[in-house]
Amino acid sequence: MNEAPRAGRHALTWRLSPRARQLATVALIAIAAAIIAGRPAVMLLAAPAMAALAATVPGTRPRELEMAVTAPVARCFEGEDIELHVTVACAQRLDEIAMSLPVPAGCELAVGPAAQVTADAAQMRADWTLRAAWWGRHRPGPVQIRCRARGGMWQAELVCPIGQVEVYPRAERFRARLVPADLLRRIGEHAARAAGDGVEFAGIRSYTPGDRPRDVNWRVTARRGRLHVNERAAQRAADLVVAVDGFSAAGPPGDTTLDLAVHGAVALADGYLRIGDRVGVVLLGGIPHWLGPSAGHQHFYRIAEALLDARQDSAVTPDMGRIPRAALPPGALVVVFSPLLDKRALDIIADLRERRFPLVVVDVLRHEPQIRRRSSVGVLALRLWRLDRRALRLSLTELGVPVVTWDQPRGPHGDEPDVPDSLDAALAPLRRLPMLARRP
Amino acid sequence: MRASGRLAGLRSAAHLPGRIPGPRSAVRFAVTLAALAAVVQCTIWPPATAVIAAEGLIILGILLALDMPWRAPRATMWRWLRRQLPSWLTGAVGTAAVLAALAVPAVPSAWIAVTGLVAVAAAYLIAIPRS
Repeated sequence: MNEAPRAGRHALTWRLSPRARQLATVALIAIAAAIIAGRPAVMLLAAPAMAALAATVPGTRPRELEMAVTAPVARCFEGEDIELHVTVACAQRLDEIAMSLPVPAGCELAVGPAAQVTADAAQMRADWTLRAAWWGRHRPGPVQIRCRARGGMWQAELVCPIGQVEVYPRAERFRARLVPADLLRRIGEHAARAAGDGVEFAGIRSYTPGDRPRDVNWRVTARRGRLHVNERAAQRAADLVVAVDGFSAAGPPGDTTLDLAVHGAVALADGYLRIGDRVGVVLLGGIPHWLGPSAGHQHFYRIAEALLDARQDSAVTPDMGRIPRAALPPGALVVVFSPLLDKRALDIIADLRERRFPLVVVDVLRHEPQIRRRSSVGVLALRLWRLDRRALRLSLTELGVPVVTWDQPRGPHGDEPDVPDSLDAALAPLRRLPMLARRP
Repeated sequence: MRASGRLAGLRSAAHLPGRIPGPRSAVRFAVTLAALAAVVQCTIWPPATAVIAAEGLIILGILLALDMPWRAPRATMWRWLRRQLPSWLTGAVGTAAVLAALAVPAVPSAWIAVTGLVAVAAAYLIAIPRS
């Protein structure tokens, strides 16, 4: 947890419990009724409540409570468990100790009831296991602690903050197949246009002194009567920049376009970093955040952490000119995950295209506008909306920006399948495009 | 993963945070009203003294049981009930004392009635803090 939990000794402020007030109210009304109506027998209704109050209200109560919070995990991936243990102890036995953990949106309780209680005890340990359902920064708690003493007539309440849990988005398996035309001079996994020492076959040429005998293509040599050798493509690394459109997030919580975009971004980052490419990330939305392209396994965690900032609402239009060259190196393949709902995102896409970046837009809008059943106007509006979307995609394609749809949008009544297509399958048609195709 | 996320979303939309077990204020209010209705009924149509005494003990029992941790394990519930026993027994002793006092003949007096009423109101206002 990022924030130090409130552990240690805490002073208890005791107040009369609702039960004591209730008993006092009933007793008062009964006594008043007995006096006003002149019926002493009605005092019998007040007597038990008064006696119970008189017996339990005075007396000593513990002045402080010792609390210990154990939360071993501060960072995890979606679907992983976070264990929380809270222990409270005081000097004398209490009637009741109850603890409750409010579960934030984005987490769910895997083990243990949210509210736990023990009776007639001097200490209590509550264990919870939360399962991270969505990526993001979540704040479980604070744990509410309630102690009751002296026949339940006195109660003290404490609040124990737990801190923040960072839940990283889980990466889908992805094979890095899209590469920009310009590859880095660094050794990598992609077959470059230039000849080199790779394993990918690139062509056949005449033998020149210095060529290795093992490269001689004997079949062609026999046919032509002169020595010919096989050429191989150089293996080079690529630069990839993933841009996530955080201007809009349409869809139900946990399944918004932003969630899909972030999942796509981490899948791409994981796939390319796995084969030694350099990956950077740019968050569009509000003040732009970026992370320059870099390689290595640790960089994946940097990207995952940077993507946590994507859940922000802002009306600021980012100035892409201000993003330094290191964040958008020339020739880097830029993949923009966007629902194409915000004009600012469209302007940025057009700007990136004008700057001649090899660009791919992944449309992550999965939900169509909801319409009322049997509403002819609604159906017409939906048709217009679909036409508008189609026109938008067409205009981007005319600009030279290929647009792919990741996961077909669901119908207005959610009758299409719920499982998203794999990103690999969504990007497969782009492998044939000359700008992005593998070379040779 | 996605389904679980949706469930979490529904839960957050339904505002079901972890809540310390106990009766909601509306339930507590309804039970108090029922107890007060019993007081009014006993005042207007007084039944036998023994019935009123039993009613008083039943009301005390209900008010004590209102805070019972119903969802707790059985052992915890038994411990909790055992802890309430002294309160209920004290109430029974109080009832017995009032029954004994009622058996003693007394002369009715308006001054005694007014003094008692003021004492009760003062006790309620002074002893029970308003925080």
